[in-house]
Amino acid sequence: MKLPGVLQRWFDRTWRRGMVASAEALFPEWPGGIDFRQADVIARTEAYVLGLPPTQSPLVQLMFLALEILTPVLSPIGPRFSRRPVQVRLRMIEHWREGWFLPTRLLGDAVRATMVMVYFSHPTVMAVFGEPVDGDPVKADA
Amino acid sequence: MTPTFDEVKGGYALDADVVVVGSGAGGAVAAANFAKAGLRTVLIEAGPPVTPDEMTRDGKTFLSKYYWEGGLRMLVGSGAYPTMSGRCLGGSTVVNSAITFRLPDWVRKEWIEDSGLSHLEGPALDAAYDRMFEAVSAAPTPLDVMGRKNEVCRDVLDAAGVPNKPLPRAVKGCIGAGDCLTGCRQGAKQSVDRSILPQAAADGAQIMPWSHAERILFEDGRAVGVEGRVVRTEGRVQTGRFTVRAPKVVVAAGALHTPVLLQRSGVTLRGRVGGTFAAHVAGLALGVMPEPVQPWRGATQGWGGFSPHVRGLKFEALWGPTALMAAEWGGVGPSLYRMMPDIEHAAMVVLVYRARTKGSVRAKRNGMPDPRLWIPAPEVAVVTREAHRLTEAFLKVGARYVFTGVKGLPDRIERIDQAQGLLSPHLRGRHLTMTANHVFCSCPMGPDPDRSVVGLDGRVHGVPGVWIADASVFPSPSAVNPQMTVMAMADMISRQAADLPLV
Repeated sequence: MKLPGVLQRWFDRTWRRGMVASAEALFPEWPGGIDFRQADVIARTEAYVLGLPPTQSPLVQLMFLALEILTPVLSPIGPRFSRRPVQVRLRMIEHWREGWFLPTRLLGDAVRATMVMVYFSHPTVMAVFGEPVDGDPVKADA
Repeated sequence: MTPTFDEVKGGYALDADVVVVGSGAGGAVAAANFAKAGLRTVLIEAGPPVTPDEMTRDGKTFLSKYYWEGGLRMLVGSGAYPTMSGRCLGGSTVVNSAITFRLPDWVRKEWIEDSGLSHLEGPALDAAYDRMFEAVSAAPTPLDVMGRKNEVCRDVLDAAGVPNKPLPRAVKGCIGAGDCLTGCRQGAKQSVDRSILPQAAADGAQIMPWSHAERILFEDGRAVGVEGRVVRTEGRVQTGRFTVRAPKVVVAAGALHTPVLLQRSGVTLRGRVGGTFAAHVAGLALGVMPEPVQPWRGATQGWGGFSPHVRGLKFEALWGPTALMAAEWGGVGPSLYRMMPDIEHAAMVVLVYRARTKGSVRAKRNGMPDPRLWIPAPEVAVVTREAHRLTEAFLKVGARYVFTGVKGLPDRIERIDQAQGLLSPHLRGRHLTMTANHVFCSCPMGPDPDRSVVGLDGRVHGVPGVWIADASVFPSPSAVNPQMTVMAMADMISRQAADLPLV
């Protein structure tokens, strides 16, 4: 998907804002937790999204864009997603995922699933629960 | 010998006796039979060949490269369900759990009596199964590669009153690395790129990866070949175009892409192509056990059993990369951090159900399939009731808590009364968490040209020169993992088309 220059720059900037704001909210600094910086979530999500097939990459970008700019519509009291406090963003995603309204539930689930997939494939995170990474010995009784 | 990308990237034009579209379970078998019969055979595959060195346990990277639509394809209808299929040489046999079942007798009887597939009554199908089971070295999963997760599945199914045993799989020398879903780096899984295609190539089949078929070519109403584009894996960029001219076109692109190729070629049979579609419906129970399970150890799906309570419902252990398994499980933020130590203790049992679903597959403007699936409420109730049975069994065998993925239920079910919501009559398809990877019935087989797409010999009704040899032709869901039935049906179809003996 290629938009005219100004629009493309706005699009790229806005979906990235939504993505960064999601990463900050889903993997916040917390005692004992590996946060989004330690798991390099932002750079790795961007690489993942841009590495997707050309039919899928814009869809995932649109998902983050929708999160960023539709938040004032979906959750009316407050500004854009990235301008809300981290705790508020976190509660919003939790609320959407548990809610009955299918579009917001799907959006919350899709954002979480995408970010969790990136987060849980970082070697530092995998080391917490002991899952092997490429090159580790793998055997049923190892 | 498979060409390199540099050898095909500029495009090509070939002449052959038969062109097979798709190198998965159906296409590989068909190509092997045509080559064995001495026909000049070209097998085209949209994806690349994938070597063990290119397989990675990093699920997102592997999905993005070697699954259709980066692993993000969805079935939309009653809800939105991921449906994943391989886009590489060997198709989904490279990325499935290699479970091998014959069609249950009752389904076979239904196909014969209700759908008119009378040719499945004789010994030909059994002979085809025998050949295919031998080719992929199918055998029950050995006990020494089970790992604790499969043992937990055994204990849970015992507690649920479900007869169970090691699942038969197409593997040779499996070490229980648990990486079936991202390709078997050990080379143990006998996917068709390892078990069937080498012989096809030795018999003279030309295997052309990176080649995405766009349309079937027709002259005077008869198929004369296939054309399409050569596509680089990275960025899916077109680098050239190809044409394969052949009087026989065998489409084996899977239940989603086969109807799309036909529709884009002008073959719609008044809406019957892609007008039907079905998928197995799934549910799950994930139990967090007191002891470490380390679910990434052991055969991906080594243990299972058929429900004695519901016909067409199967239970099996499952674990893949945690990055994929945790897509639904667990909360966000601090609650996700608190869940992380539980991952080492997790074991999952999934249920796969031959529900009466309705669906369709239409071509999108970008050439990808647009699959729709609707699950009636009574069928959802079957799935959630059996998830309740699994939850109860998990708690009986000592699980600290159970997660079912059903929307509206607690994420941590610690007592069975907390699972009461699974028995609610208000649950619908949109409440289920599932992946629908067994897909069928988009070009059903049957004797009546007004009610089916292909005849009993696999030829498309009224379209000379075109055959279909994949799960599209199933008249209804198989109730078991479809790979071996796809292979056996493709074997029968291609043997008839190549004048090889069926028995």
